[in-house]
Amino acid sequence: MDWDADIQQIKHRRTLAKQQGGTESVGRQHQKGRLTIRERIDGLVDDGSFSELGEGAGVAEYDVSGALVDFQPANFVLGFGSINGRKVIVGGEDFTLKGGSPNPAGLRKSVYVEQLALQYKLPLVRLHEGGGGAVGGTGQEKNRRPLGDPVYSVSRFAALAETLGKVPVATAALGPVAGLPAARLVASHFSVMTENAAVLIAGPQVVKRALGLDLTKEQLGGASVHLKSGVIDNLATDERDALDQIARFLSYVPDNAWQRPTRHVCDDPVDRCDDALASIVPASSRQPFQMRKIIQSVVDRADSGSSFFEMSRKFGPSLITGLARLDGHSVAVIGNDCMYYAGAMTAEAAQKLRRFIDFCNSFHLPVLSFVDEPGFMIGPDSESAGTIRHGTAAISAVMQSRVPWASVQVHKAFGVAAQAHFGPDGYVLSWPSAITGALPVEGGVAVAFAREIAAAADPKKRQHELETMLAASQSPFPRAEGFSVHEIIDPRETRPKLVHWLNLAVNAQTDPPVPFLVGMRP
Amino acid sequence: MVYKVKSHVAGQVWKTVAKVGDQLAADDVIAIIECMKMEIPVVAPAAGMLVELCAAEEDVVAEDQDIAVLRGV
Repeated sequence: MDWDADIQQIKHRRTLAKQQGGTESVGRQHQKGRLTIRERIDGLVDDGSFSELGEGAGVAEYDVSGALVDFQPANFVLGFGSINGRKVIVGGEDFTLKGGSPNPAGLRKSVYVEQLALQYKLPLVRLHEGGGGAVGGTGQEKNRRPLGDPVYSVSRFAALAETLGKVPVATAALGPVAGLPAARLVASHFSVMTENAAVLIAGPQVVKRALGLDLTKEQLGGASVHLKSGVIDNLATDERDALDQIARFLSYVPDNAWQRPTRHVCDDPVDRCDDALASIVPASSRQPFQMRKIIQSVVDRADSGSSFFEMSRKFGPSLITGLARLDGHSVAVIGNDCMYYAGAMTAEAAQKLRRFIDFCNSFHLPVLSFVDEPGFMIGPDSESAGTIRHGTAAISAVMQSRVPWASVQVHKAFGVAAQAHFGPDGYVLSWPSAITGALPVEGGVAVAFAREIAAAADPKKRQHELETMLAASQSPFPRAEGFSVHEIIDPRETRPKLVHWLNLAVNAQTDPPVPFLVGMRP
Repeated sequence: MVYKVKSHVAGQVWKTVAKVGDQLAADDVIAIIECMKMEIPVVAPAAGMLVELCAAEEDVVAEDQDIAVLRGV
């Protein structure tokens, strides 16, 4: 028996699979300034490292003699690849075939990537561009099959839900992403989109029919919408940048929840002290300052300038979240940005914090917290947004945190929201510019001492006296005397102090890492 | 190129710093918004001439409200 003909057929089918939607369709994709899924995967993974699964899946057409005349590949490409030598699972819709709306084999392959990631405990990258199901169901013309999945089958969303606690998931929206792919896009720890991508539950025509609104894809789900909605973490300048951001994100996290992040070589001196930190916080608490400069000064410097990789900058912008390295260790960084609402915790900032702290706990990232918290955002908009519930949920997430935690009180720590910046068993440093209390003196005194001020011979003078007295009690020195902080430090010492602590904290992690599970929150 | 310069926070215009007709460099302060007792600067996104101030001192402004119009050089 000679298998030559069959072997030739395997080769032939592989060639046909690589044609994707055909020359014309691929040409249209390129004209739109977009890459095909195979080009994207090639751009993401190390040269020659892509090992495909299910290349032969698709719809074949045979002539009367049984010879293959045409083959439409599954419009979801998936497989193993390496990023900087580390194995990952990567997959994405093929937009050149049916606009990425799943054909039968495409659907089967697409819902398999999460199972694969769970089985092999590897990071998962999904590169999305495509629509959801068609109204007539998947695979209408060819390969008709019984309607619906068997009643005993496990939902495709079960694996989707499970991945987030077990393996890092990074996703990109690189064109229109609607319906099921949009749901999969947000089931991730990090998501990025290009300017010409859109993320939609339903597109303009459906919206027009249901709501009578004339809106474009971009108006409904463009970057300007979803960077602020929190659906997408970061904007990419182009597809290359999107893939680079995914690779960078993955460099900070372990392969799975049973491992700790890999320590990198650090060329930045651990005892580096930055003179700029001594004067970065203005004496007047009305003057804002740049918290990002403080973060970048403290964490490791890298070839790109800083090891700090910010995520979700535009969603809940009063809170900064990102990943960085300190003495080569991966760390998570949070900090208030007083340029937005004085750094106050809004409902969005609270949701961002809760999600970020859960992510840190899932993948064992120590937290560095740079504190300038004036409290929960106040006023009618904040009340309507349910800030107190989201804020309390964020505080609960912090209190349930099990990762090493260091807090540097740079400036304010006021009210209940301040609790969201100090994790259990944390290492607490205070800058001389720190001020702490239940309420900022400016607002608090006028309210709490209203009668006393009104009864005074000179109410303004009395208010000023009270404010001066209480401001003194908010100073960091009495708190250091009372051992409410580990140390009050020269801001220039922040990096060496944190490096010293982090190495001790990492060394003390003797228990094997396991997935992070918590109960219900407010 | 014409830039609409917006306030990224809701608050009250505490001070207008630049005047219509001023030639500004990138990052020059146009106005200062008081928000949660902090002075948040609204700065020029690029070098250019200030052609319009859309808000006056003591005006209450919403997030993303236009504060000024700048014609880039």
